[in-house]
Amino acid sequence: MLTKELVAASTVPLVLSVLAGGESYGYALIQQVRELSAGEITWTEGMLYPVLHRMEADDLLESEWKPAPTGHRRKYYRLLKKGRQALQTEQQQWLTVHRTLTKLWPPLPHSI
Amino acid sequence: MATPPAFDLNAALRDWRAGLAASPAFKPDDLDQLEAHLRDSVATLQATGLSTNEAFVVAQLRLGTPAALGGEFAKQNFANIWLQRLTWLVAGYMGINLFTRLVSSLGTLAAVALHQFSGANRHLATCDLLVQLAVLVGSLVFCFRKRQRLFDRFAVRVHARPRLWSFLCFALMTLAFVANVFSQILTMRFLPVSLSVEVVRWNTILFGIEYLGSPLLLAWLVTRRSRISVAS
Repeated sequence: MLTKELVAASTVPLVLSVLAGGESYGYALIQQVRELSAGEITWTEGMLYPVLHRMEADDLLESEWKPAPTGHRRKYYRLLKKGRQALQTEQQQWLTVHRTLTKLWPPLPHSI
Repeated sequence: MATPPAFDLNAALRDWRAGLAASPAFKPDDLDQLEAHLRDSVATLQATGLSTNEAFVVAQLRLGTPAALGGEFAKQNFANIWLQRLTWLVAGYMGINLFTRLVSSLGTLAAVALHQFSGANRHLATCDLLVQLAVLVGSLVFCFRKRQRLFDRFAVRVHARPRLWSFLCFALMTLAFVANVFSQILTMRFLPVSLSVEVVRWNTILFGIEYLGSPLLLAWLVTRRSRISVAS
């Protein structure tokens, strides 16, 4: 499980990365991140929405209400140009941290 | 053993939503989004074998408590919440101000009319007071008897077309300003009560700032709010 601080810091890059693969809605986004992280990254689900709204206000995303197959509506989010640029910056920064840490640490044992 | 009544998901969602709607931190669109999330979450949990009731409880738990959600949404809608409060404050101030000026102008007009048509010099102040009192009490009674429907309808209309309403406020206040200047000229011209010209002049300038300034502030608030609502 990640610490609260790391969850908060990684939410925006995770959202940007998922949406880079195509439009999605809040619930699906959360499910996808949970599956990809094998349950290590779990959000208090409702907390994602203020983040999405903030990102939309910053012109990183745009949203649209669409009918779902269940008959109800869902708000779908799409990445905007500014969002793609933000994703590139995030990628560089996270990879820099990752590369630096892996150089400092001895190789991880493969068998425990 | 009696079987418990069937769980109604729609009713449960309605209750849950009503609980959140009481907080100004959530806009209707936010609630739509959270409700859609809960529905998806309940459907997924049901597929794992939970009953609808159990699925709803777990989905709510995963979504977060109303207090925690409210705190997080309030951060996002902070400006919105305060601009909304300020808008109503300014609108309320304008409404009350406009109303009291209107009442006082009506009283003056009645006194002037009495003086002009009957030539009476006495009881002019009493006539002024009585007309003001009658209009005041009449309006208060009207407002309190119809208050809910009246204010609800008004709020809905203002929210639907904010620019039109701020322009209307501006026009109305300008009109009130002109009417007030007019009633002061009438007072000086026709009433035996001598009024200092200086006082009237300063009052006119002050009214001008008040009447033209507050609608401008309201217009700014309202247009800013609608921009924020569109953005977030």
